[in-house]
Amino acid sequence: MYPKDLLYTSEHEWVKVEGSKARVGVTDYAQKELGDVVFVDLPSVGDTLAAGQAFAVIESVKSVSDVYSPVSGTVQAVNDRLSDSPELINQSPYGDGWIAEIEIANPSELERLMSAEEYEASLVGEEKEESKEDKTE
Amino acid sequence: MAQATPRVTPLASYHEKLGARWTEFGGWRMPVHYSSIIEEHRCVRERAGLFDLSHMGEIIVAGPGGVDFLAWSTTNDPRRLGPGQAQYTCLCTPTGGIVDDVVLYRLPPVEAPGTLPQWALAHLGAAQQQESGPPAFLAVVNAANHEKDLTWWRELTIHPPAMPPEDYVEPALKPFDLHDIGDDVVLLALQGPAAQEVLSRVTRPATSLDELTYYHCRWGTVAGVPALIARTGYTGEDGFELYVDRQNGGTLWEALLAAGSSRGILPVGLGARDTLRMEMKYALYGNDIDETTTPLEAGLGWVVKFTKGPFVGRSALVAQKVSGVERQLVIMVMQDRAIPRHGIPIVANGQAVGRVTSGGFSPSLGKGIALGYVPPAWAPVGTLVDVEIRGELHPARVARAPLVPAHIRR
Repeated sequence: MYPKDLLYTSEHEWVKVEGSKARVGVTDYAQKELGDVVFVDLPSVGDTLAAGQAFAVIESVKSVSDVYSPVSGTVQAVNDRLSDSPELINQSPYGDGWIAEIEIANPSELERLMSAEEYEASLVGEEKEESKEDKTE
Repeated sequence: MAQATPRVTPLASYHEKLGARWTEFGGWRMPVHYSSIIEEHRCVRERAGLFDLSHMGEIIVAGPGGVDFLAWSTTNDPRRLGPGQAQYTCLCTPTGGIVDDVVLYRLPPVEAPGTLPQWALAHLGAAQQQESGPPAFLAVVNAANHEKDLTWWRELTIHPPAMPPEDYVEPALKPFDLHDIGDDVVLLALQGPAAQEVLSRVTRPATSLDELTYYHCRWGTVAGVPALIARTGYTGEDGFELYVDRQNGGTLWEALLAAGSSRGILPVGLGARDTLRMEMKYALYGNDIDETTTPLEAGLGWVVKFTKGPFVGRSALVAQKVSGVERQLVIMVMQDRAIPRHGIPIVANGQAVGRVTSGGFSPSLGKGIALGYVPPAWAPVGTLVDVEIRGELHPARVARAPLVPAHIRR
């Protein structure tokens, strides 16, 4: 459920570090909470992001959620397939459902991210709160 | 609102077992979906879905004065209802604002022994169980308005609000009672093209369903449970709503899922209930209609019967009918992939002309859709407007409702 080779945020993003690049997406927990994803508002290549900044929007049938950049940096690539197939986020959150690749400006920020074990442990408390997060109109 | 702990339906443990995701709605903790909203939506359009709607409020209006009281306090005409017939109607303020939108059933006569649930037995006298007896009514109200409606109706009889004298009716000497039976009733809805086939497998007499037409109801047993069986719903599909005693809710829920398993029945949450009703342009109280909107603005003129005699809100609604409404509820279909949501501006010629009152993704069209109010100039079908989503304008076209053909059985 939570691959060991990734880093995680408390906002349910994952990060795959490859050299100076960070590939970013949302976790399996996040896609389950969102339900059917039907639209993704992607950033533009070249956008400069601060860590914690909202850089994409995921819309499911029931909700609208911001995606926050786990690191500071510059957007190098976006997953254009999500424009036509937003459901890839549900089907393959760690694979074809990736959102963007960011050139990492400050590698020390990676130290603040969670390991798979830490992330999984953080979800135990979260699940009790989940009824508060699901809001329909 | 709903600061207090949300209420749960008697079937909460059944939903939990089915893997429900939960939401809070109208002061209740309700399933929003089990599998996926899109899958559940398609299941209702193509096969059959089962909803627990026990959050809805039920109020019995019985007694010799009941029909006159309802004729005065609602916009439709309950005097037109025969036994076992239903109508959609509104409660309005003296200025024509909508207090609630309600389905009103005139309860049917009892045809077979053992078909009357406790919730009905407790409040209907022997005479009211006969076809010739005085009419008794069941009003089904929105969960969030349940207490408000009870208070509104009770106050109308003892301390009516100020209103034009021509709208006022002296309380008749004939008595009537309001019985709040919301806690006693489990309401399940079985909706979709296979609904009748599934329901007939567990209903006695099974043939009775064939004779039951849209917006009619009768007593019967379903899975051995006494029920009011109504051919009503909020999805645009053929289907039924079943009002049973609280303690029988679980038996009925499991029996219907079992009876429908060969037809691919799914339990359906409030998420799909919302997308299904939006495609039909059915208004949702609190989103599309409230005390600041009138039935005429909301396109519900067909439930306002001006010629039936005085009723609360009549003068204001007559005046609005004569002068014409300043805004109308329309349904719009997005022309790009953006998804409109409740509260965002509707823009025409660079000016905000209204707001989206309900918005979301239509699983049937695969596009964003919205309900909202616009001035009549922008309301004709085909009009192109924009909606503003996260600071950007996205084109939307006013469409003819419903967006998918209704399959209700006339």
